[in-house]
Amino acid sequence: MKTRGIWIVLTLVAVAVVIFLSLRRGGPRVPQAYLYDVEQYREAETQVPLPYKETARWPLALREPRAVAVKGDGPVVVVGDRVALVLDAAGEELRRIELADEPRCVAVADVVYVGFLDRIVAYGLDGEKQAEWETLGEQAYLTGLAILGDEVFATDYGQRVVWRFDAEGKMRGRIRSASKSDGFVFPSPTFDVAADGDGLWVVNSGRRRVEQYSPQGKRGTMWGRSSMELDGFSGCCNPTHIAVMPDGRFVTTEKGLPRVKVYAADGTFAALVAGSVQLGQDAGLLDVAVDAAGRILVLDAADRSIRIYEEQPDDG
Amino acid sequence: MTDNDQKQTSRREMLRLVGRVGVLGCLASLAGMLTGRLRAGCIEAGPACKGCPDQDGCDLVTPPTVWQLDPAKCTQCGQCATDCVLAQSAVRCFHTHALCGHCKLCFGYFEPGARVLSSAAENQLCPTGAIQRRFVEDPYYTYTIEKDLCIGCAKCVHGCGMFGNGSLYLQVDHELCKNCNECSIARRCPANAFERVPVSEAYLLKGQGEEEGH
Ligand code: SF4
Ligand code: SF4
Ligand code: SF4
Repeated sequence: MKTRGIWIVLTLVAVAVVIFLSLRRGGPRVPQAYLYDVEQYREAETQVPLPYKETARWPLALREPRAVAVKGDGPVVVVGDRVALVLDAAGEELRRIELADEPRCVAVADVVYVGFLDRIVAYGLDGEKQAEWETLGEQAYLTGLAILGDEVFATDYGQRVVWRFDAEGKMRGRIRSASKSDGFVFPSPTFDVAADGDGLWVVNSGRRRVEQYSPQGKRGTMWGRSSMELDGFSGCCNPTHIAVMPDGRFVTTEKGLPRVKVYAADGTFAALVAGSVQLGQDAGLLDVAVDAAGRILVLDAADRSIRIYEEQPDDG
Repeated sequence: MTDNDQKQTSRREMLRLVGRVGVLGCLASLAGMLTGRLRAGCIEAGPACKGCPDQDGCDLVTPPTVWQLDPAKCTQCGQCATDCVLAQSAVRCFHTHALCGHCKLCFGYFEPGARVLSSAAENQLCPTGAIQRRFVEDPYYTYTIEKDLCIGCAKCVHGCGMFGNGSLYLQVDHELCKNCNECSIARRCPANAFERVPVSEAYLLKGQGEEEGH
C-alpha cells in the first residue's frame, strides 16, 4: 500500500515537471524593455479614413520587380529581372523587352527610358532598342528617372547628383547638392525624382523632405517633416519614391512602416492611401506612378504585383 | 482460488507493470532533460580530460563546429538576451560599418518617436546604454557597440533593420560562448536561426567581410 502511494506521488511529480518544462519552451518571457515597439504608430493608421481603395492587383511574372512608370493614359512599363514589360491600362502584357542587364528605374513617354546602374538605354514602345547612352562612370548608381518636356533627368545615388540629358542622351548638366550643410543626404539608395509643370521634385530622403528644382538646378520650395506621425516621414530615408498626380498633388511611398500617402500641391498631408495594415509589414521598397485618370499604381516588390488604388467618391 | 480470482490477480499485476513502466519512462525522460541542461553548462575541456584516450576525437575538447545565428533568419524576438546559459548572454550586437548610413536620426539608437536627437538616456533605445554615438561631420554620426554592456536583446537590430540599412545584427560571440552541446537559445529560437558552423567560419557576417566588430 505504502509502495503504491510512493509510486503515485513520483508519477505525479514526474508528469508535472515534464509538462512544466515542455510548456516553458518558447514562452513569452522577454521583458518589454527589450522589445522594439512601434505599435502606436501602426495603430494611428487605423484611426484615419482611407479615401482610396485597392480596385485591382496585377500579378507580375517577375522574380524581382524594380520600378514602374506610366505614360499618361497609355501603357504601363514595369522593369525587373532583365526585362521590361509593357502592359495595357488593364494590366495585360502587350510586349516584353529583353534587357542586357538588371534594370533599376524607368520612365516612359513616346520612348521607354530604362536606367541601369551606370547608364540609360532608350527603347521604342515597339520594343526596338533606339540608343544606349554613355556610361556615367564607375561610381554611378541610378535610382530614378523623370521626363520633363524633351529632357530626361536621372537621380544618381552613387554620385549624389541629378543628371540632365536631352532626348538623344546628350548631357546638358547636373544638379548638385544645394549646399554642404543643407544638401542631399542619402543613407540608403532612396533618391527619386518626379516632374511636372513646376519643374522637378527631388526626394532628399535623408532629410525626409521633397525639394523643388528648376531644370537648371535652382532649388525652390521644400516640404516634408521628420516625424513618426502620419503626416511626416520617419526612418533614415523617407519618402523612398514620389509621383505627381494630374492635379498637382503628390503621392509618396515609405519603407519601415510601409505607407503610401497623398500630399496636397503645397506639401500638406492629404490622405493615407495604404499603410502597413494594407501593405503588410514586409512590403519593402514601393515604386509608384500615377496615370492620367489619377489611378495610383504601386509596385509591391514583395508581393510581385502592382496594386491599383482609386479615390472613392465622398459619400458625405 | 477460482479462475475468476486468478484472472483478476493477473490483470492487477499487468496494470501495475504498465504503471511502473510508464513512471520509469517519465523519470527517464525527466532525467534526460535535466542531464541535457546540466551538460549545457559544463562542457569545457578541463582537468578531467587529462589522460582520456578519446581526447583526440572528442568534440567537447576540440569542437569541429560552433553555434552561430543567421542574421537573415533572426526576427529579433529578444530571447537571445534571456535564454543563454550565461548570466550575460554570449550573443552580442555586431555592426558592419560599411553598410551603415551614419544617420543623424538612427533608428537603432533612438527610441521611435524621440523628439530630441540628443544622447540623453531617455532618448536611447538600448536598455543598457551599450551604443556609443559620435559626431563625424554634419549630418553624419558613427555608432559603436560597447561589447561589455551589450546583452544581445536585438532591440537596436530591429530598429536598424526596419527603418535603416540593417547594419546592426546579432552574432554569438565566440570569446564568450561556451559552445554548449545543446545551445539553450537555439532550442527555443522561434526563427530557427541557430545552426552549427565550422570553427573556421565561426561568424555569419553581413557585407563582404568588412565587419568591424563592435
Ligand atoms: S532567439 Fe532567434 S529570433 Fe530571437 S533574437 Fe535570438 S536569433 Fe533572433
Ligand atoms: S542588442 Fe543592441 S539594444 Fe540590445 S543591448 Fe545590445 S546594443 Fe543594446
Ligand atoms: S551555446 Fe553559447 S550562446 Fe548558446 S546557450 Fe551556450 S553559451 Fe549561450
